[in-house]
Amino acid sequence: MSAWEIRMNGANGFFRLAAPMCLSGACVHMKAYVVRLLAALLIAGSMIGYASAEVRIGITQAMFVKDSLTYDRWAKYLSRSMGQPVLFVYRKSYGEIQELLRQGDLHFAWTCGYPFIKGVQDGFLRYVATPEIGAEPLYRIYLIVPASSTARSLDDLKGGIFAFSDPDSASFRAFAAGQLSQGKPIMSLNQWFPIRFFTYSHAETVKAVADRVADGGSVDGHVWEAMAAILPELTRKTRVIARSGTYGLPPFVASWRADERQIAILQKALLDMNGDREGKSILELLQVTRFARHGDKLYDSIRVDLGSTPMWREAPP
Amino acid sequence: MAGSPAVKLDTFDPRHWPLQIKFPVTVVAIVYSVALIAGVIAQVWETKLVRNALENRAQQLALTLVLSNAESVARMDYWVLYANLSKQAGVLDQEMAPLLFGSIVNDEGIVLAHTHPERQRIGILLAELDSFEGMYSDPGLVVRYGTVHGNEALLVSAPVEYRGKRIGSVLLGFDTDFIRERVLATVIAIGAVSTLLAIIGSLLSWVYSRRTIKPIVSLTASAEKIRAGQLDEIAPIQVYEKNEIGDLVATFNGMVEQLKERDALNAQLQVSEKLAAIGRLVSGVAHEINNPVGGMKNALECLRMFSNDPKRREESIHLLESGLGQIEGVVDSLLVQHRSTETISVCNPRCLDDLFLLVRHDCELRNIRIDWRNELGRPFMVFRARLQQVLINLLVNAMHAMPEGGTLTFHASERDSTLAFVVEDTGSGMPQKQIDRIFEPFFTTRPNGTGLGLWVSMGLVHAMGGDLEVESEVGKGTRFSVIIPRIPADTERETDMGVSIRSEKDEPVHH
Repeated sequence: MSAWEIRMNGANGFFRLAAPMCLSGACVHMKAYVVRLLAALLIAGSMIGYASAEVRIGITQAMFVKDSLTYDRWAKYLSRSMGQPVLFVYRKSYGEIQELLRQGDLHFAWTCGYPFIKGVQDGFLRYVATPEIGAEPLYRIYLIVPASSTARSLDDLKGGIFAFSDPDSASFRAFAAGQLSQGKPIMSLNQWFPIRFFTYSHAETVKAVADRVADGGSVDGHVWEAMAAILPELTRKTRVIARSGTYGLPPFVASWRADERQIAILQKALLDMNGDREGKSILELLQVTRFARHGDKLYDSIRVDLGSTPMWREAPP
Repeated sequence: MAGSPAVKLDTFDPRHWPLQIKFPVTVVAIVYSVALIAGVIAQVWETKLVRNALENRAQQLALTLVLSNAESVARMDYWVLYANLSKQAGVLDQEMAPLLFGSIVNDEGIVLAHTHPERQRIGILLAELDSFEGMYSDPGLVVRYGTVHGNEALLVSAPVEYRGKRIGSVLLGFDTDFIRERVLATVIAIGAVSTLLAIIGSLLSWVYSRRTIKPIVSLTASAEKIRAGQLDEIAPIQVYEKNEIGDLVATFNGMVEQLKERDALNAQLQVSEKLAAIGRLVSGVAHEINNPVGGMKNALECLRMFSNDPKRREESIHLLESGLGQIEGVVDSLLVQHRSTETISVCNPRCLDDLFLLVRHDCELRNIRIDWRNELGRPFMVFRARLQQVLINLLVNAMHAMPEGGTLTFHASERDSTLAFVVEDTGSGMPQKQIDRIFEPFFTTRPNGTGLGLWVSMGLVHAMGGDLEVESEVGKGTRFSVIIPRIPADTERETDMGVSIRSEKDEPVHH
C-alpha cells in the first residue's frame, strides 16, 4: 500500500503544478480505479512474499526531492543492504508522520528536527542518522520576500500575507522563536499575519513568494540554494532578507516499533551508502553528501527554541 | 493569317468588350461573389461556433474548479486554491479560451485565490466584482457577456457550496477580442484563397478565351479581305480544336479555297475568251483582205499578160482599184471607233424619217410592211451621222432577217433623260448562242455579210454614251433597242469624245 502511495502522491508535490489533471470525467475515474486495482494486486503479491518482515519508513513532501522513482530505487537499495523489504510511506505533513510513528505504524521516518525533539521528549522516538550536505549536518532557515518587495525585515511584513512550509517544521518554530526577527518571539501569529497558509513543501513556499501570492515566507536554506542552482528563474523572483542560526538537518528517526538490531542495520545501511556506486548515485539524487551519526545533541538549538517559544496551537485554518 | 488579336477596351459598356476580357472578368466576378457569400456565412458561422466553444469551455472550467475546491474554500486553504486555479488556467488552451482572470472568492467577494496574485492580493475584495453584478448572487451557474475594465468579456459565475451552504464563488473572465480576430483571420484567409483562385481562374480563362477566339478574329480579318477582293492574301486559318469553332474555321477555309479556284478558273476563261475573240478578229480580217487580194492578183496577172491591150489594162486597173477599195473599207470599218471626230449637232426629229425613204423601196420589193412611229416632238442634240449609221445598220439587218416578208417596226421615243430607238422584225429570231456572239466582229450569218455591222454599231452607240440591247425569240423575231442619253439642246459642253459643241437652235435645220 505504501509503495503505491509514494507513486500516487508523488505527483502532488511541488511538481503538481505542471502535471495534467482533470477532476471531472468518468474516464479518469475509471482509469484511476484500474490503476488502484492493479497496484493493490501488485502490493498484495509482494506482501505475501515479505510478510511481516517489511520495514516501513515515513517521508513527507517537505523534502526537496519527491521523485517517486528515486524512492523506489532507494527502497530497493535499502532492502538489499538491510536484507529486509523496505517500504517508504508518504504523508503530506510532518504531523501525520509523527502520528504514524506514535502509533507504531512506522519503524522509521525521515522527519524534521522539531517533531523529532518532541518525539524524544514524549519517549517514542530515537535517533538513527543525519544527512550531511557539503560537510555539515546543518541548515539555516531563510526569510524570503518577492524580489520586488521593499521589506527589509520581518517587521516590514507585519500585517501581510505569509507562507509557511509545515506547522510542525523547525523553520516554523524558528520563526515563532524570533530567529528571523532579532530574537523577538512572535507572540501572536494572528496579529502578525492575519492571512497565512502552509504549503507543506519548502519548494512551494518559494513558489508562493515568487508568484507574490504571499508577501513573505520561511524556507529551508538548503532547498532555496538547491532551487537557485536548478530553477534560477524562480528563485530570482525572491530575495532572502534574513537567515536564522543553524539547525540539525532533518534526521532519520526510529519509532518504538523498531528494535535496536533494526536501528543498527538501517544505520549501517545509510552510513554505507556512499561506499558503493548505487548508494552514491541515490545520495546524489537526494542532494545529500552522506549520512552520518551525530547524535541528538545536534538538535539542541531546537530544544532552546522550544523553551522560549509560545506554543501556538497552529493548524490549518 | 491574322496576327495576334489586339485586346482593346474602347468603352465602358461591357457589351462592347472583347471576349478575351469578358471571360476573365466574369470568372473573377463569379469567384469574388462566391467568396463574398462564403465570407459572410463564415463570419456569422465562425462567430457562433467560436462563441459556443468558448462558452462551453468556460462553463467546464468553472465546474471543474467548483468541484475540486469546495473543501479548500471551506478551509480557506489559500495555497491549494491558488495551486489548483493556476494549474487549471495553465491547462487551459489560451488560444481557444484566453483567460483574462480567474478568481475564487468567499461569500463576501473577498478573494481567496486569483490567477494574477501580483495584481490582486488575497484577503481583499475582488477588483472585477462590479462586472459580476447580479450574477454573483445567482444561485446557479451564470454565463454572460459583459465588460471588464471597459473591454468586452465573457463572464462566468459559479457558486461553491459546502455541506449545502453557499460559501463562495468561482468567477472567471475570458477575453472575447480573439473571436473578432479569429473571424477576421478566417475572412482574410477566404479572401486570400479566392484572390488566388481568381488570379488562376482569370489567367486560365484568358488563355483559353484567347485560344478559342483567335480563329474567330482570323475569320473576321479574312472575311474583311474577301470583301476587299484580296482573296489571294488569305492564308488558311489554323484549326486548334475540333469543336464548333473548329468546324466553322474548317468550313470557312474550304469556302475560301473554292472561291480561289473559281477566280482562277474565271481568269483563265477570260484570257482564253479574249484570245479566241482576237483569233476570230484576225481570221476575219485575213479573210476579208484575202478575197480582194486574190482578185487583185488576177488583175495584176492580167495586166502583165495584156499590158498592150488598153481595154484589158483598163479593166485590170479598175479591178485593182476595186480590190484596194474593199480593203480600205474593211480597215475603215475596223477603225471607225478610233477616228470619231464628228461634231454634235441639233437634229430635227423629222430627219429620222429620211431613213424611212431609204428602206421603203427595198421593203416593198421584199413584201415587208413598215410600221414607222416617230414620237420625238422636239429637236435634240446628237451625233447625227453616227446615229443614222447605227439605225440604217439595224434597219437593213431587220429587212435581211425577213426574206419571206413580215413587219418592220421602227419606234423612236423620248423619256426624261434618254432617247430610245427600237427596230423590230418578225423574222426567224435567234437562239441564245447566236445572240451571245452577234456583237463580235466578223460574226455573220449571211453569206455575203462582213460581220462588222453590229460590232461597229455597238462601238458607235457606246461612243455616244448609250447602250444597244437585243431581245430575240426564235420563230417570232428580234428587237434591237438603242438608248442614248438626251443632251439638252440649249447647253454647250465637252462631250466624252472631246468635241466642242454649240447650240444651233436658231439656225435652220439642215438635212
